[in-house]
Amino acid sequence: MAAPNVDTPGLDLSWLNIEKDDQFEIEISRKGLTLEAIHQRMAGLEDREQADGRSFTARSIEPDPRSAAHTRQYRDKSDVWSESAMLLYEEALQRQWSSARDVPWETVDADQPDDIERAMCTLCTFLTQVEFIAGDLPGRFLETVHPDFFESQLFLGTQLMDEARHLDVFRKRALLNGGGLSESGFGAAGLLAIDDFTEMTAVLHLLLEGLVQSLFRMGELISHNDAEKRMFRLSAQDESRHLAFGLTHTKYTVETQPWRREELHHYLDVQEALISQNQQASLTTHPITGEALAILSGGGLEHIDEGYQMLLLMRKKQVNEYYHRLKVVGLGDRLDRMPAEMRELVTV
Amino acid sequence: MQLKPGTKIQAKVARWPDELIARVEQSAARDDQVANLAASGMAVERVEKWLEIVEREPESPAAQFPLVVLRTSSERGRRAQPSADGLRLGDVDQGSYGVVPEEWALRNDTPRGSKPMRGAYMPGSYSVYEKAEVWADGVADLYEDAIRDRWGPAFDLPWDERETLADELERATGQLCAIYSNHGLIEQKIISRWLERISYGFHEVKLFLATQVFDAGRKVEVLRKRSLAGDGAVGKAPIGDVYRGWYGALSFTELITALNVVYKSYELTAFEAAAEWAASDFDRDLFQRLAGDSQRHLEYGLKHLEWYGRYAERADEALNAFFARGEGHLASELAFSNLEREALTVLFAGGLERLDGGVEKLKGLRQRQLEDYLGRLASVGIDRAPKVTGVLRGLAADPLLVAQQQAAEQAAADRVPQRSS
Repeated sequence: MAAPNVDTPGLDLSWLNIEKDDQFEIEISRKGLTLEAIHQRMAGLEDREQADGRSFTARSIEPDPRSAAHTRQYRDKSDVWSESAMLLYEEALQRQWSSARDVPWETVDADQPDDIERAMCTLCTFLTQVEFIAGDLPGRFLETVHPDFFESQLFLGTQLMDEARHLDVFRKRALLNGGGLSESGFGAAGLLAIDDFTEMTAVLHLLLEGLVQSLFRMGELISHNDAEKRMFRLSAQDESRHLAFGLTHTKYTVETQPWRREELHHYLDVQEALISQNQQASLTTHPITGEALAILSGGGLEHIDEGYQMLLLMRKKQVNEYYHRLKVVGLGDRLDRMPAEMRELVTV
Repeated sequence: MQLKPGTKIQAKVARWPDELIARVEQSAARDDQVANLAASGMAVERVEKWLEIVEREPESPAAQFPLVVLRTSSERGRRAQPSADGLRLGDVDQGSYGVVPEEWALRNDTPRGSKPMRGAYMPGSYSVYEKAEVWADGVADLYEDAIRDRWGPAFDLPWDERETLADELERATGQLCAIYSNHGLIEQKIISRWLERISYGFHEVKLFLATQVFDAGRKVEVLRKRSLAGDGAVGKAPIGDVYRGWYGALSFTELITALNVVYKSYELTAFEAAAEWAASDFDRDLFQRLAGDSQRHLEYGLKHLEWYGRYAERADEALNAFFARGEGHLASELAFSNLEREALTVLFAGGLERLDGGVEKLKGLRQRQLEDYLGRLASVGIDRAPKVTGVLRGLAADPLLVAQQQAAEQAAADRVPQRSS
């Protein structure tokens, strides 16, 4: 459309004369109008491997040449991209839930044994403590996504929301039934030392959140009512998306920047060593949460021996699922460099 | 193992029979385990069953657990009742858990109401520890409301029923969407950036800001979809001067002043006015939903400034500076970029035929934006009317800044003969 001649003073209207795409066809699926549906032609990425400009202008918007430059953004697609970001973003929006309304809190028995209540509160204290670091950290890297690759940014925004809800739901569970918060441990503030987007996805998504997700998926074993089962099930669903994002990003990095393999391995060398040598670093090896999990899965203190066997199963499942993820992203060769305590649990 | 005297007394207080205490002392149980057990008040028969495990497999890790989960120094015994809207944060943050200190003393990620375990304290990188810097009355409810009122552009909007618009109206809508979508992208970045600085004592604020990050992403998404669905283009970018106010904020309250109060007030009034300028029911619905989100962000901003004004040191002076800078950057955006005002003019005019009428309606909107802004500030005790940035007043009188342009043209014309002389 050509810009019209106008005689109203102060109007220019040249923006009406913008390049449009008559071939742009919107397909509305049963999921509605998704990001993938509009990711096409001029609005898509095509073969762009590096970001164009330095201003805060989203992809396929015509930049204003007067805009300020910003330096905090990665320029390479490989540094931030995930092939599943759009899909996962849409799924995140579809599967938002409310800790206030979607958890049947009334099913928590006010008279349940005190050791069970305290164990659940201990576990929830740990989770409410660490979950928001899992939000703060993506928050930091969200900013670094260049607007050309904004879909990754949008996904991280949903992760922030999910982690907020996790902080909230575990806090609510701890404070619902008289148990209260337990004392807190080292937590996860050390993760804020992470300084690179891909380091974040390797350490946070691939490894640590993966360990938490494995545990959430075994929520049936540690839950004593429908509220807890649902709380863990819904949280696991969220974590699955975060893992999928981290997995697809790390895979993309390994494929497009193969020279970074050793760097990625080394992030994991260090983090795995921390988990193996420092018991504070993992839910199932941490002396306090490990004890809580043994009480919960055993069904009480008098069955803590049976609970401990379940705890070993959880640990095994965590490590095997982690190793599976490593293989998927192309780092399956790290089995040989895993600490012995982890390697001996791998059966797949 | 000989129990410490204090532990033995605890066991007796817990009504453990002498035989049980003797059995414990003959077993591999440790004093710390027994002390934790005795303090928990657990029934004797259950203690006996635990002891059987210790006696049977003294070396097993299961028998070695310190049983610290049975002790806590935090408040216990307070039960929460869900309210009509479910179990909200305010329902559980009661007693000591609901006390938000003026200054948060812990530098690590200990949740409020918990205490750091001895020997397990690692300070993090937080830098906002004063309640006055971040707090807003009702922030927990705003968080819960954001979740309750969630919506999804992909599936909550009737994309397949969207009305077809005339080309210029379609493009004007797309151009407006391009601007606000881009604003959302930067809003999301800047709020996320500040999150890690806010300490854990104010978790309600962190939670609310997470919803704003989420909302901002949704704004990016839905407006991009809307623009592309219209004519396969997004549009031209805003100049981004308003982002300088957000990125240039040197404190959290300055950011909130610039983004959540100055900018959001203008954004909210513009979105609410979609009832007048939007060219279709679809667009009216879309912008009404966005207005609901903006309303919460603005509400947090206003309540925060109210709190800040009441409790922060030299708040009046600081707020004056924050407002001057925030208004200045918004004014710069509105003055130097013609895109938003022109797109709104075309939409208000219903096309290109009656643009003068569109300009009049734009003038009405700018006046309303200014009045709403000043009125909202007045509602939290801030009288900004005497000091509001002149350009915002100027835009309310002359929304296309015609006089300014004419003056600039005249000045340029006047300079020509001077150079030649």
